[in-house]
Amino acid sequence: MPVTTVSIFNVPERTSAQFAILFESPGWEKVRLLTMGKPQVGVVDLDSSDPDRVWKEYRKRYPEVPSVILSTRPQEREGALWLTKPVSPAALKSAIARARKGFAPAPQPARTVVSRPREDVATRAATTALDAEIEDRCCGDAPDIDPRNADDVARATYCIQGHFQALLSHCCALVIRDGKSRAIEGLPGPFVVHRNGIETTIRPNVLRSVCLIALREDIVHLRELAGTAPAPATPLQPLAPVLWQVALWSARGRLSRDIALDVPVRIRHWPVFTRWAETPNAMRITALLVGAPHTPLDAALALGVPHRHVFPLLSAAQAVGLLESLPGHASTPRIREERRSSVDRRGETEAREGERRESSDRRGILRRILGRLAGR
Amino acid sequence: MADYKIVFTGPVGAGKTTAIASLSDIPPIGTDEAATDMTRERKPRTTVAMDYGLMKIADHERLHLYGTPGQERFDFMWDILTEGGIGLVLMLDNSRKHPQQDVDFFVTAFRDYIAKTQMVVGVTRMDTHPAPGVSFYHRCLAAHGLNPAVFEVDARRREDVGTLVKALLHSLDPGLRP
Repeated sequence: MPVTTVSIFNVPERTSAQFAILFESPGWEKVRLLTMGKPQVGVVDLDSSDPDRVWKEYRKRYPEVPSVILSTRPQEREGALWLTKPVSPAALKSAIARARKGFAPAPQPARTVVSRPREDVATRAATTALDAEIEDRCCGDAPDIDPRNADDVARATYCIQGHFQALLSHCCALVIRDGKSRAIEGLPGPFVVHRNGIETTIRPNVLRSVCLIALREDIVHLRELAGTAPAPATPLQPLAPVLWQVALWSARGRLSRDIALDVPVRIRHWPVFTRWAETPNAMRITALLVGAPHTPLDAALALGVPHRHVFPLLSAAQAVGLLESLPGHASTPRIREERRSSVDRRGETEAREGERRESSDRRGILRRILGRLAGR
Repeated sequence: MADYKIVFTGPVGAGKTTAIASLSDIPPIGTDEAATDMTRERKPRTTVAMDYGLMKIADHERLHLYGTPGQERFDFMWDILTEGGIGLVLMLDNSRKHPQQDVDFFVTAFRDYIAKTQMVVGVTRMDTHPAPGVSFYHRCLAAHGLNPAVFEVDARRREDVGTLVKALLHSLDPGLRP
């Protein structure tokens, strides 16, 4: 994608300077701050005593420029996407990219959507921001790999040994086995694993950073707590969701080297997506792999999703014991309907054509219900 | 006008009425009356015919949300409710004394419907009654040859109920794109 020029409107000088620094950072090579002329995307802060006036001034200066609105309050303005503050860099990057593409992917049958509760406006924006953040933190942005290319495979796989995920898994296994609480020492805050949950005050963004670096054994280590562990000072977090989240952060779009690219895998049960982090396409991948084993690459092919969406989900499923490898089992890719060639379709009987149409109609309504639930 | 239907079922007090209210675009229509039998212990008012909610999908499409009565004596309604439905949401209350019996009862009662469609399970009150866990329900369901999504839910939270229904839709068609 070419460079997108962006102008910032109605922010103090200090914030403007922060944007300039952000746009110069690694990962922002495709965004350039424009101080003069017409940008391809405008970013406007509407938190003011008179947001209507600010918007009017903004539109006078940048008419029809696709825009991203930053505000703590819901904002519905034509040709603009609202991001609720505080805005993460990932959400901003995603919003700029969407604005540049004319807010694609456009929600399908937009014209047929009826009036809906106001809550959905906020939900849509919040969901967009959250999705972008989760995608950035758990899936990264690496392209699909060629499994015949050793460099590609090396880039897309990771070894948990020497990292926090391995230490936490080991610690949880010990605690579950003998019931004795253990502290993981040497982290940027207290982290105690009890049989019934994890006690920590380490903030998620700090813990995520810990997941990405190799740990030094002489600094970070386990200590068994003698006797009865004191009553937790903070509410306990259940083990499985923490382990799941740590594995997603550690994977960041990659596949654990304990999972073979060419061996079919099955997800034993659905992860509890109401309480565990849901990565992009996680439900689709789960539904497929609960139903039938596929290799990681076949699962991506069957669903038409990027490898970086499949790999971390499988790595996390393995971390919590939900993944089963089935060497020797046939992988059963369900190639998407739209990928089938027209040659394949020529021989279809009228009855099969009817079935296909019915299936397509059904998919249409299911998709619209899904869109409605997502606040589109 | 195209009409589609999702059926919510489960024992008394499991959160069916609340779950429907969480998703519905209209104030849900209930047929509650004061409970006069043993159900009163769990819920002072109970659904005697059915609950009804509605999600407007498009100008000419509506998704009807039906809740079955929680009392077994009204089970003659169930066949009527499930006719033409696209799936089943089984709501279970983790604080009940015999959760396995609940699973067995509802899975057996809706066996034919589940075979034709798909089901998901929402377990309520896990915050106050953490045991049994989700894996317990997976074992119960596996005994019936089923492996549906089983999620902890707070029926008052639209996000939780929406996630449950999303899992139902993806179970029906993993190829479904958001």
